[in-house]
Amino acid sequence: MKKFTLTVFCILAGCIFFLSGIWVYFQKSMDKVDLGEGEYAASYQKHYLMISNDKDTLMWQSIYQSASETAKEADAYVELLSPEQMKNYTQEDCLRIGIASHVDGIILEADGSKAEQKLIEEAAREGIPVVTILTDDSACRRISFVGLNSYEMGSAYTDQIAGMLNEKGTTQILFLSTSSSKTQETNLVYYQVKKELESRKKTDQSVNLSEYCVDSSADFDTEEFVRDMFVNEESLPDVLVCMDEVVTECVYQALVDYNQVGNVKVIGYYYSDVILNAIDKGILSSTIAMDMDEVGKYSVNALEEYLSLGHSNGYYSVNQHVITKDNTDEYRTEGEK
Amino acid sequence: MTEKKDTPSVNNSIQTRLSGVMLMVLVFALGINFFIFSQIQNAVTRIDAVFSSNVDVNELSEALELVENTVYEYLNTKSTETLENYYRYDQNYKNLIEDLNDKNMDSEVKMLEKNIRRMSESYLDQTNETVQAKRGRNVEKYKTSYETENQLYEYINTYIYKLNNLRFKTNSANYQLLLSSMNVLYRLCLIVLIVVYVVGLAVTVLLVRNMIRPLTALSNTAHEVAKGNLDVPQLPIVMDDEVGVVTRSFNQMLESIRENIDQLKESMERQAQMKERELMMEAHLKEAQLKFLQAQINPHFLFNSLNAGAQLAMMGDADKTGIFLEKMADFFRYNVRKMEEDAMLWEEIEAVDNYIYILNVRFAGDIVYIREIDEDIENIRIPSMILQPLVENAVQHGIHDCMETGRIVMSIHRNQDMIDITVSDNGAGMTEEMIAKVMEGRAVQDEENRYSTGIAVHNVIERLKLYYKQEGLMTIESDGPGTGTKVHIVIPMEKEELE
Repeated sequence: MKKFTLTVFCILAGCIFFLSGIWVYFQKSMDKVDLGEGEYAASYQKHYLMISNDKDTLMWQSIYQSASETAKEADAYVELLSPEQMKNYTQEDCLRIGIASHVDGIILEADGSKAEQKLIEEAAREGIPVVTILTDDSACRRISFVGLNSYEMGSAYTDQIAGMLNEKGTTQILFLSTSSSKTQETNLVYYQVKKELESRKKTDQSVNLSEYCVDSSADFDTEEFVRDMFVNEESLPDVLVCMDEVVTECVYQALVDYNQVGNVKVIGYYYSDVILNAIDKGILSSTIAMDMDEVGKYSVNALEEYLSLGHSNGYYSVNQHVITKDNTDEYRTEGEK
Repeated sequence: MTEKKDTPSVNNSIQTRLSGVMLMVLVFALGINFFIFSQIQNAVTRIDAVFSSNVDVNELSEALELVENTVYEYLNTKSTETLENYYRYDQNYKNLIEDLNDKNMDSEVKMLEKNIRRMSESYLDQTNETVQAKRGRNVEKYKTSYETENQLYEYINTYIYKLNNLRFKTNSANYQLLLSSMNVLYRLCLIVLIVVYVVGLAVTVLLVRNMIRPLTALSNTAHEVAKGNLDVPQLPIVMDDEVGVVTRSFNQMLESIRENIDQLKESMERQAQMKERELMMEAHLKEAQLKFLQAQINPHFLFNSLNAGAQLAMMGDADKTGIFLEKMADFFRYNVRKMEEDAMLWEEIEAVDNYIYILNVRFAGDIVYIREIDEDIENIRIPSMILQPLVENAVQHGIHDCMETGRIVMSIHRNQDMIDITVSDNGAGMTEEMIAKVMEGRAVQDEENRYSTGIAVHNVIERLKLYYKQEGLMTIESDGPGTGTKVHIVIPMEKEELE
């Protein structure tokens, strides 16, 4: 009888053990189900809205990440909103959404349009401070601008271009930008370069500096323009200075496709893995990048300053980096390294 | 009125055990089923929760649409009913957005909710402004306001769509996860159910086998017993259940049968012994009868002749002769009559008297015969022909050679519930050897033919033994040759005789 009881006991114990296993497995499966509601996510006191033109570029990702980290320290949440996320929406729509959502602050790259100025005005009336980054619109009631120092940027470009000038004769230099990247700041840079090159060129050297802005309002136009330029070889300059990340990548591809590597010296704008690879291969000479981390950081700092003191510094200058073959590794992501 | 049956108490009855195991198996299976159902319920609730968020968003979207439509309708028609509807839907939408998140959280969903809520608040303010402007017939204002409000409506719708999409994406992933979990659960549950039923079956089979085993042993043993083999071992009592009770009863029954058979055997042996004794007694009687019949030829003839002689003597005035002949006739008549049955003590004594008288006539009154008999014992029954042979023996072997001095004493005394009979003589006496021979019956054969009228002493011994079913009732004592012989008989008295 004892044997019988022991057998029954063992069987029962086995069943209970098995059931416990099932229960644990099932509970773990259930726990894996995240309703995505973020019930237990961290909460913050303030809500800032960052409006970007192209949130998928590395540049904007760097800005957002830096801004987000800085904001978290100040108990604020930064929401990234891009018009491209919503069909047929413009930056103005995003700005309106921000105002209607009663956010605590807005960070955007100003396009200098009247509608935008009006909306910034409206935001100011609603008590929402607006900080412009990369491109400024001093005519509106933005509280601060975070962007490049055109003088330093111009000097940096000049340093790069000076080494590329032909020993004798004229050097054709083309500044290529898009309608979205062509701003007051890029104009200042252009003039700064022009001014500095004039003073730094040697006696038997001459420089023919020109600029061109590609209308990027329609899709794929930039790429098509660059291709056209390379097809028509006569229009190719000696030095091509890109003032936009997308333009830089297009030029790089065109250089390879049309076998113009070495014929055209290219200075890029900002960096991506493609651009860094191109520099490593010697296809691009160098690239000049603003410190986007500083852009993100200073934009949030400006908002914080305004909300706490009622005013803020009207201009935050960020540094730029010159990336050459020697220091590409510093800008690569961990995976790429 | 019901009669309460007297059933033996069973501590651990088969019914209880079977019920217990069945109950245990059922409870276990029920528990497992509950467990499985609770898990399924849990999963279903979870799946329900997964898509309920989408349902909520849809509800919000519908409520917003109702507000927008009623505002448009009111602006279009300015009907009171629409206005009432507007206020109702406005309130309904306000209630719905109350449930949305209002905190700044590090979650896309929560931030979308917050933006929807805030934009909805702006939207509702704007609709209110539009409606008020319409009521105040401020055409320009309500048109501008409607445009703004409509724009906000679009934004909110876009955000709701975005939220719905986001949730649907997450929910679909969760649904897949839950579905795969459910599939695993389904398989596991199937295995568990099979295991539980197999376990239940195994437990039941084990229990039934445990219960049946002693029953099988009992059946086998009963079969053995039925075949007549009672020499089977006692069955062990495994459990104190009904089978245990039956086994115990069977063991007891077997024991009783064995005892009964032993008693029967003993009884039959006793009966056989009795039969044997009866047969022996009969044989002895037959033997005595035969011997007597052999002797009867003379005694009958003699007896008739003696009667004739006695009558002749009486007629011839020879009285003594007549008495002698009469005594002789009585002696032989007694002999003839009493050989087959027992007799009264006084008849035996009379027979002895007659014998002594005859001998005294024969031997001219030389035999001294002394009787010492207690009163009131003469009516006691004893086997016939007991005393006369002893006296005859005393005459033939004891005092035969010294008739002149010989003396025979027969004393009969009552000793409580016994009768002591002693026949003693002062004649030749006996050696130990001779006594032993006589007692064992070895001497009888040799001397039987020599004394035709005598009946062997051994015959007396045997008959006493058969009659009283006891041995050692007769003893012979003698101090040796020439010292005389004493034959002593002890006869137990029967109850009636004692009374």
